[in-house]
Amino acid sequence: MKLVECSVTHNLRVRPEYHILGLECGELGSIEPGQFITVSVDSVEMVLRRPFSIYRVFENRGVIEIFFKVVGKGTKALSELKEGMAVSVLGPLGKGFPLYEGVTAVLLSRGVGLASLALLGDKLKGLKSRVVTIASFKGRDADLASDNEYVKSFSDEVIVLYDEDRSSDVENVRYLLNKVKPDVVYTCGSKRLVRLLKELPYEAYVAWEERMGCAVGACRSCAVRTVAGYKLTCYDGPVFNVRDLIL
Amino acid sequence: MELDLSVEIAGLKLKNPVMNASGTYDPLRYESLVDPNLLGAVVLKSLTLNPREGNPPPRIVEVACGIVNSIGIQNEGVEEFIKVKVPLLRKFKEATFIASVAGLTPNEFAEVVEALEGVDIFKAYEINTSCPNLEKGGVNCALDERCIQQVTKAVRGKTNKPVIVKLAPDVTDIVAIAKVAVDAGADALTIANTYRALVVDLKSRKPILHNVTGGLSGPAIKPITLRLVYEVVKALDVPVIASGGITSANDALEYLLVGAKAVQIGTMNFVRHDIMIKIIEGIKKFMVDEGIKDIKEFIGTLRT
Ligand SMILES: Cc1cc2nc3c(=O)[nH]c(=O)nc-3n(C[C@H](O)[C@H](O)[C@H](O)COP(=O)(O)OP(=O)(O)OC[C@H]3O[C@@H](n4cnc5c(N)ncnc54)[C@H](O)[C@@H]3O)c2cc1C
Ligand SMILES: Cc1cc2nc3c(=O)[nH]c(=O)nc-3n(C[C@H](O)[C@H](O)[C@H](O)COP(=O)(O)O)c2cc1C
Ligand code: FES
Repeated sequence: MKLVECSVTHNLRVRPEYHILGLECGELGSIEPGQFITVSVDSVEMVLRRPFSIYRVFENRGVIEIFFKVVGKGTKALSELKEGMAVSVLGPLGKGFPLYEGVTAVLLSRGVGLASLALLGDKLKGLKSRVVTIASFKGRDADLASDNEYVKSFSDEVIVLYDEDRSSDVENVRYLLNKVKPDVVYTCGSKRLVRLLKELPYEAYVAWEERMGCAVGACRSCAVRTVAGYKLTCYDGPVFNVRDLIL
Repeated sequence: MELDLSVEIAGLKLKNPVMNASGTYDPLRYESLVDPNLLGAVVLKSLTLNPREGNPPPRIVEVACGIVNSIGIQNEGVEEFIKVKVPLLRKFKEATFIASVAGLTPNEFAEVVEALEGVDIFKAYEINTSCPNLEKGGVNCALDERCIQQVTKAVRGKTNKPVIVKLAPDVTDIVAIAKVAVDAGADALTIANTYRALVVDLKSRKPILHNVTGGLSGPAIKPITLRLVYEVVKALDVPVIASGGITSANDALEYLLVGAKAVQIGTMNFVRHDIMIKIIEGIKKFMVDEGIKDIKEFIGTLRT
């Protein structure tokens, strides 16, 4: 884990309200899929650093990307960053997803939760696993998967679901999972999907989100209830086995 | 120029006046970012006699220039702490450790101190009085002169190490409460903890923190706590450690100017994880620029 001043390499608006931010951070150390960084936006008016999953890594250039949705004033400020501007980055933080070789894995995302699973898909593909990406969105205008070349590059199959045609209904997701019969499912972005996975027989992990203070396991702000009592999302997680969480 | 940053608080020698505030920094989790041996002191997270699991989330929320938290003193309990954590802290050979003590009854504070008495790495105790007092229906002990007196006396009876009583800021008369603590045997005071606060959500019409209310900290509170330190230093002859909203070396220096012997950095450790080291460097730079050889010559020199 390092605290570094990074410079913005690019800030792409991929959809209204969705941005991919490239940060030249140099050597952050080895990064596990599912780990995250925190970014400082202001520091006096907006005190807290914002946590984001590491979406993509360009190792040879020392560049990482985060993929975020504008939801409040911190992400608004990040969406306005220009190339060459400096950003304080802390990371990589937390513990990543367990990786498996030669298995069938489903990446089950909701909305921008896809951002937390992409690097994982990339790694799994490299480990000769079959990757089925099931990405659920509110509507077609918020679809972050269909024309996403990165996601397509590691997915053997991309299934996109929407609320507007009800294909994202939990029952349909259950049906799709049972059809794929995965060895392992990874999810992010929806408590509803975590609840579903708790009912199904597949091994499953979630990248959890909780409000954070320090993000390094010192302040105990980011507690999440588990079968073994409260755990810290930033330090014990953000990846948890869905069966360990008490929702 | 040879600079002397050392200060002394109730016989406790510190290499410089910069330490962390309890609950906002952990030397082990910050190890790659901050060398605790360089700090004036390291204050550990508040400990209770038994383990406490803390409040359900959300526990933290950002507001303008600050945060409101309600962690609920989540801690492993003093016994587990001594068994598991203390051996790990021993590797920081040059660090000066201060234990933070909490309790739900005046007697519990004394029992925690008793349990810690044999642990040589602790050079002083900070008493976190901002705890619900179960003997008085859960009223916050820090707001109750009688409880402050009972807790200070109970702890004083158990140790010869310096006892630093940490006060709540949002009381009617800070000097009166401070005097109660000093008269009951406190060697020093930490001024102050967080301010009781509330954050609500308009859409859901609910409080954001699960615990409903929490404590406000961060840059927003600095001028208010600065006033409290000023009042106490003016009225009483007791060493004061300042805690409230410090973001920079200048903020730290303002507290020293007003008369605090040392300062604690809290919320800002979440924002710039190496801030305490930066503040020590900034204080040195100020001393060079202003021709101050010994920080003690600067402390309490406010011209009014
Ligand atoms: C480990 C982790 C990984 C994340 N990865 C991504 C990602 O890859 N892409 C993405 O778009 N979002 C991600 N998020 C959510 C992202 O952190 C929030 O959307 C962001 O902090 C909102 O900031 P804001 O100032 O725009 O919103 P505001 O609502 O103004 O924020 C107010 C405060 O609440 C906190 N907060 C608000 N929403 C969340 C949330 N969902 N989780 C945690 N804290 C929150 C903010 O950090 C801030 O401190 C992640 C969260 C966590 C905990
Ligand atoms: C997340 C968090 C946890 C805290 N935990 C404790 C604690 O365990 N014991 C204590 O005495 N004070 C605790 N405090 C209060 C701080 O030690 C400090 O007094 C207060 O935050 C004001 O300083 P600041 O504005 O620099 O943060 C906590 C504060 C925060 C933000
Ligand atoms: S955010 Fe501080 S412990 Fe997780």
